[in-house]
Amino acid sequence: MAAEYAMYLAFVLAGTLGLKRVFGVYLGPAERLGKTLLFVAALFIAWDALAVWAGQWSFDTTFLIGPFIGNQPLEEIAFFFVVPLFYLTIWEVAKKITESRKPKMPKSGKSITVRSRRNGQSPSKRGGRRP
Amino acid sequence: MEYTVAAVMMFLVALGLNLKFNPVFQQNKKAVIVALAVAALAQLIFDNMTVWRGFWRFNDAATVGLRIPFMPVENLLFGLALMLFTVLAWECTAKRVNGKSSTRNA
Repeated sequence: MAAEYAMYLAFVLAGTLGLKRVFGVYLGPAERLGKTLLFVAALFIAWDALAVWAGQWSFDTTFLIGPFIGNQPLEEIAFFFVVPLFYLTIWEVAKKITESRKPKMPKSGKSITVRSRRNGQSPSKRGGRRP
Repeated sequence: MEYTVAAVMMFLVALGLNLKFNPVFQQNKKAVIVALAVAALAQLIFDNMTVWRGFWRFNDAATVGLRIPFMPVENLLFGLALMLFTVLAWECTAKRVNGKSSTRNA
């Protein structure tokens, strides 16, 4: 089927957006996300283009919509934006899950609280972690 | 074996750069392990599906010949290198662009 690769990417993107929603992952600001994706896409599209040129792998046009940029089908270029977005979501979810399982108060937390009160400031105002 | 050499090199470079410049690799090793495990599992599922369907055709001369079960082992390293470079760029831009945590409560 001609659009099968595109459908696969759409499936991955839908899964990514679902994960983002379920875990409340924020991938921003847009400038940061854009810089990250452009850097990774440029690096890996260059690798992919070189590998195709060297004959290490090729694409079956049966599964492609059609347009190529150089030796790269549009779907392959989109792959290097969609899959890193998926990986970033996994990364942020993993950080979120593991951070939320850490004990909220360290063993020395009591003394931190006392010091905060003595200074008349809440821990958050002193640069502490927000609850 | 050209793909093998390139994949191993890119993976090692990505891993080394993360160990050196990505603070999460020092501060939250659990997150790194969870993220890499989930990425590897997803890669094994999706890449095997796409290689089995035939989206990509690999030149056997460019690989070491080991497949798990349909995809070349080099593809796993390719995917993990892609992930490692992505999180490296993400964490490095955090310092330069906003300097804040990239997650917020839903």
